[in-house]
Amino acid sequence: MTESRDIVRTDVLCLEPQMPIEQAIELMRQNNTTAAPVLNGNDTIAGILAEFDIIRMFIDPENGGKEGTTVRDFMTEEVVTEQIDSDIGKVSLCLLNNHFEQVPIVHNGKFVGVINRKDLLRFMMEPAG
Amino acid sequence: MFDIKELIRNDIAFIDSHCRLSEAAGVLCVSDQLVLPVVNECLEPVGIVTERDVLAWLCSGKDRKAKVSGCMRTEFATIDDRAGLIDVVYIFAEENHREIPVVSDGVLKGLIRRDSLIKYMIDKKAAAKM
Repeated sequence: MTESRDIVRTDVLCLEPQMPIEQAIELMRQNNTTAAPVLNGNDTIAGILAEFDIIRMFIDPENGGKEGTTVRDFMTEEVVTEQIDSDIGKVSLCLLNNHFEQVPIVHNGKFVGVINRKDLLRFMMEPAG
Repeated sequence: MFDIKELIRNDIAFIDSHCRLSEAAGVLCVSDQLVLPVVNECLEPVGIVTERDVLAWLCSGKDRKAKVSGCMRTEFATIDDRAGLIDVVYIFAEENHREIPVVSDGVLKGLIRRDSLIKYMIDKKAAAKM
């Protein structure tokens, strides 16, 4: 049985809630990522900032043009996670059913890494054996 | 002055609807594209295949040798190459599109990526401050 730990990507960009939104966007661009987990100081997950959140920022009449906005202002706080020992089939369903681009993997409540659709697709297309 | 050409990525992969799903999956695996346009013989987009579509197909245990026409989405957004900036922003903001095919008189010209639009908007904002 393949588990999350077998394909989890651990070298991922992580953001902080108090980070200025412009800095977060630049980091996401540099890292070529469509979403980034937002971590508290103790490595627990505070939220996720996705490109879709950023696009909506541009048409948000209240916060869109404001100076001093932070990641916290635009991140999604309700985050679905999977465990480090979750079966890959379960992770796939999590991504598919929730229309996620990636799912954060946790161990004992702390962030470990992410599994994204492309990683999963590459894994599933690998020849068996 | 907005020029949509600044956002369009022209060097893209696309496939025709007779290709097999496994071929589409292979292209998506090796490219950085998130969406694979499916075109007819006139290079008009007739569908798109995303990583999600392929994953859903594979996870449901269906035949990976099936033709891509069986699993592609036939209802999908496109952007006209004469669209204005506001139109483009709203298309991306209304639904969670990551890449959208651009057409000129119905013919595929390329893709616009969401991150390219974000970069453009941020650069525009920075330029306005200067």
